[in-house]
Amino acid sequence: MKSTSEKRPLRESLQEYGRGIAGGLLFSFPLLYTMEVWWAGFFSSPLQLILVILFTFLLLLGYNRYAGMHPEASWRHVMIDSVEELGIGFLLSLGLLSVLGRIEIGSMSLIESMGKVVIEAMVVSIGVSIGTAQLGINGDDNEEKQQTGAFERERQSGLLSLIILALCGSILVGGNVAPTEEILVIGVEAHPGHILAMALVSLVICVLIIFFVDFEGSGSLKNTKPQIFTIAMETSVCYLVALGTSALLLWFFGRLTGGSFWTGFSQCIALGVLSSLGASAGRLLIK
Amino acid sequence: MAKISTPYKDRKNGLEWAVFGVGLVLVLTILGYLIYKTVTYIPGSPHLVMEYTADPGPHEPNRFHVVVHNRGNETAESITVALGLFREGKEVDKAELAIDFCPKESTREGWVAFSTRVTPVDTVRGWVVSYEKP
Repeated sequence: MKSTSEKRPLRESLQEYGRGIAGGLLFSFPLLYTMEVWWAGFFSSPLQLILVILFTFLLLLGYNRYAGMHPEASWRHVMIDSVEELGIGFLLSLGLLSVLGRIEIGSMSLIESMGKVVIEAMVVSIGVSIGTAQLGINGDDNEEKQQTGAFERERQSGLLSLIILALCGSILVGGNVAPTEEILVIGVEAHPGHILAMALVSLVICVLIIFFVDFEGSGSLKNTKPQIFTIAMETSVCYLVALGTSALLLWFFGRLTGGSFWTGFSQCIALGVLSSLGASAGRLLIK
Repeated sequence: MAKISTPYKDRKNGLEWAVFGVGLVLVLTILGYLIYKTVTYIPGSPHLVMEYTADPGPHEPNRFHVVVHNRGNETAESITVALGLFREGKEVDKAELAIDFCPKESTREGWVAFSTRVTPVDTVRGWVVSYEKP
C-alpha cells in the first residue's frame, strides 16, 4: 500500500502547471496573434484537424519519451502525461482565443471555434511539455545529476531521438512563421541564386550550432573532435527534418496548393532557414 | 506531469489525476466531434443567405443592418454584398459591404448606409455580389 508521502505535494504540482503554462504561452504567442492561423482554423477540414491532433500527440509522446520525462518512466506514464499536456493545451488556447475575441459564441459555428482551438493548441501543448520539463530550477544533488545526465546522454544518442527532438524544435520555430504571407512572397520573388544561398546558410547554421559554437546542450560533443561522417550525418538529418517540417507546415496552411513546383520548393527552402535553426539550436535547448 | 528526478516514481496526486481526466475527456470529445463531422461531410460550395433590416442611428438615418449566413459546406472569402434603394422601380442608390471571410455554418454582420433619404414608399433589395473560394 502506498503511503501518502509518496504523492507529490499540491504546491509542487501547481508550480509544474505554472511552468507548463508559462512554456505554452512563451512558444505560442506569435501564433496566437497571427491572423493566418485563425483563418487556418476554418479553412481546414475536420479530417485535417484530426490529423493535427494525432500528429501533436505523437510529437508529445516522442518529446516526453526522449527529453521531457524521467528516462525510466514507462510508456503508460508517458501517455498519461501527454494526454494531460494536450488537454492543458486545448484549455489554454480556448481561454486565450476567447480573451483575444477570436471566439464568439453565437456568430461562430462550433467547428470554426474548434478549428482555431485545435490549431493553436498544437504549439501550446508542446510548449507546455517543454515548459514543465525545462523551466524549473534543478534542485537535484550532484550524484543525482550525474546519474540522470548519464541516462539522458544514453537515451538521446540514437537517431530516432535526434529526429524527434529536431522535429519538435523545427515545429516550434518554423511554425511561428509558416502561416504568414511573407514566406510566399520570398518564395515567389527569390531568384534561384537566393534559394541556393538560403539552403547553404541553413546547412552552415546546422553545422555551427551542433558542432562548433559550444551551444548549450551540445556538451557531449565539445570534448571530442567529431568525425566527418558524424558531422555529415547529423547535419543531413537535421536539415532534412527541417525541410520535411517546412513542407508539412506549408502544405497544412495551404501554401503548396495551386502553385508551381518551383514556388513550393522555394517556400520550403525559405522556411527551412528558420526550421533548421529550430532543428539544431531548438533541439539542443529543449532536450 | 513529472519532473526529472532519480529514481522515477509515479507520484501523481488527486489534482494531477483530475487534470488528466479532464484532458482525456476533452481530447476524446473533440476527436469524437471531428470524426462525426468528417463522416457527415458533404463537399459543396458556399451558400450565402442575406438578411437586412432598417437600423437608423443617431447620425446615420439611412443605415441598414446586414447579416450574412453561410449555410454551405465551404468557407467563402472576399464577399461583397449590396443593398439597392429602388424608387418607382428604378435604382436610386446602392450601398456595398465587404466581408473578409464567412466560414461554413457561421454568420458575419455589418452595416451599410445610403446617401439618399429612405422614404416609406421606397423598396430596398439586397443581394450577394461576389465571393471566392479560399
